Amino acid sequence: MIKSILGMHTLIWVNSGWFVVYIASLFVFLYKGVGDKTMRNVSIAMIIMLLIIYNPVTIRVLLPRMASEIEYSRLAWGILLVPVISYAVVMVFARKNWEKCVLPLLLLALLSTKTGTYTIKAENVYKVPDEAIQIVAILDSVSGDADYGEVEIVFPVTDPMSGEMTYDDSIYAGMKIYSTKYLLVPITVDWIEISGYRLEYILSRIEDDRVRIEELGYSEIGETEHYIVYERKNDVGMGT
Amino acid sequence: MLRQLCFMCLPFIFGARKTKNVQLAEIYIKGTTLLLSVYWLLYYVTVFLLRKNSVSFLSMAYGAVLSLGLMRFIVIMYQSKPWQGMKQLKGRLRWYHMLVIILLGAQLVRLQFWMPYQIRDSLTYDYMVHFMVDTDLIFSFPDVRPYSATYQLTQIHPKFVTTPWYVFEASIAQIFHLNSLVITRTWIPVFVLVLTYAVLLFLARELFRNDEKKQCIFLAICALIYESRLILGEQSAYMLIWPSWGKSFTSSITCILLLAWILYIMRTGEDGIVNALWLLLFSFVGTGTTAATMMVIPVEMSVLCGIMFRNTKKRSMITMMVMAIVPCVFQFVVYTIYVNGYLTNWFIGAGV
Repeated sequence: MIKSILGMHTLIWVNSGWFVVYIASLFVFLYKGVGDKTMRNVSIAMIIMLLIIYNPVTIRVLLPRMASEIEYSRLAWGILLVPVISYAVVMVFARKNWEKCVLPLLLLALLSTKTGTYTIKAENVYKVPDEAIQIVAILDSVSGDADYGEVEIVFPVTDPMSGEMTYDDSIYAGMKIYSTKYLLVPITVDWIEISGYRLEYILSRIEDDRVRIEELGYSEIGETEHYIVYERKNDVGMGT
Repeated sequence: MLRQLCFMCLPFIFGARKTKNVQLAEIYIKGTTLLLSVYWLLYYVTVFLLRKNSVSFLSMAYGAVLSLGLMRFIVIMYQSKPWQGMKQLKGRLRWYHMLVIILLGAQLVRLQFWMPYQIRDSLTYDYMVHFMVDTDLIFSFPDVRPYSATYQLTQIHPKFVTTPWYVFEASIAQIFHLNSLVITRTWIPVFVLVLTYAVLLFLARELFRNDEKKQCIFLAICALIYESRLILGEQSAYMLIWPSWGKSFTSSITCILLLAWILYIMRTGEDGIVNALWLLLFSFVGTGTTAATMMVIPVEMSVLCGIMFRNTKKRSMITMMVMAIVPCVFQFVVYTIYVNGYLTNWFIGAGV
């Protein structure tokens, strides 16, 4: 049981020190002179919320009824972390000279911009890579009026959406949401060769072996900066 | 950009009132609440009573409601002439106002032109909205075939059946004639950000009466906490990283708004039916964004109202708690009925 409580704790706070700041903020309100009576009541309510979230009985009753632990962790939305900490900071520094707080605040602002993945400038209004749109345009020019998800394309094998996004991931995600017509199948050329299964189109990286793909019965229909789009020749069957 | 501005102004149009001396934040919050609760209501009627599975039908009905709202707004503007009070704002800007404006402005610009962090769920939700616009079917997925509207109604994922937030995004794309990606990746994030700070400002005014400096510093610290993302694995991370998700709406807006409204009621002593109904609507809007509200709102409101009742002995606190929980119970009932397949025959007999 302690293991599941600790697991939940890690899931909610991601090993962050903000948990300590939050608890400290709650106890700050319980002392007279910091905050008013209403906020003391809110503080007590939040402590009860924490006791509910970390309660072994609640975990035992609710967790089996949920699809995953992450759903249970959403109870933590109710602890109102952002306003509680902010209120505590304002009340603690209320007696100080506000102007002196500007520099630490600016430093905090600077430190908080550390996450690089968020600061990727969008290439277009759709916020998908330009190259994904180019590939879709090439495919659109030859695929005709296909139904949703009916055009199957071999996509270079990747591990989409896990960890940091690779360039392949962003193209995969970009194509998938930009056009609902195409179904991307991440398989290797080796697998196509062995299975004999021929999908309508292949999207390959520019450095991949062109001759090998053409020998499988595909011809090039377009090229972008990093990828080549191939189409299956008519005389080649769908395979097994 | 102009169309986006029109969209951002919709809450003002819906929330406009003849009474002067009303906070802009309050107008914005109430306007959004009306805007969304009308849509949720239309969704429930369309899917569960009319048994229609068409996004464009919903969009047309909603477009009519928006037009009525616009007409009401023009009449109110003509009668109350609010621009006459704008001159008072001149010359009141202090350094703490500037601090908040810079922080929020930076976040707004980033959400407008930069790309938030993407994970598998972002892809699923964006794809889902895009697919709804393309197929004109509510919560349609390519793995649910055939594409008959009746069959699709029985195949909606249970966690979405009571949460029309993503259908709302699809409808906005249809109403404004834009690619759904523009809506999900730019419009909605900016909308959620503005609304989040409107709610925080409303709360700040309840916490620090008549002290603008403290209100602004409070907002600035909130902005910095949101900036430092992933501090809480689930809650505060949503607002800036996955802002178009329904979860973001509940975690950053509804949960905080419920506290702010309870404090407002406590301060003003206006615990009549009107404020109780607003609480019900806030909760109703929350339930339409994510199924997680079935659990979060009842627990949060029980604890908050329980503590307030213990200290004030005001029976109205119990009423408030009940009003906030009613939409969650409604959502849970619909969810249970749908999951257990009690509605399947009703949907299959739709004849659409």
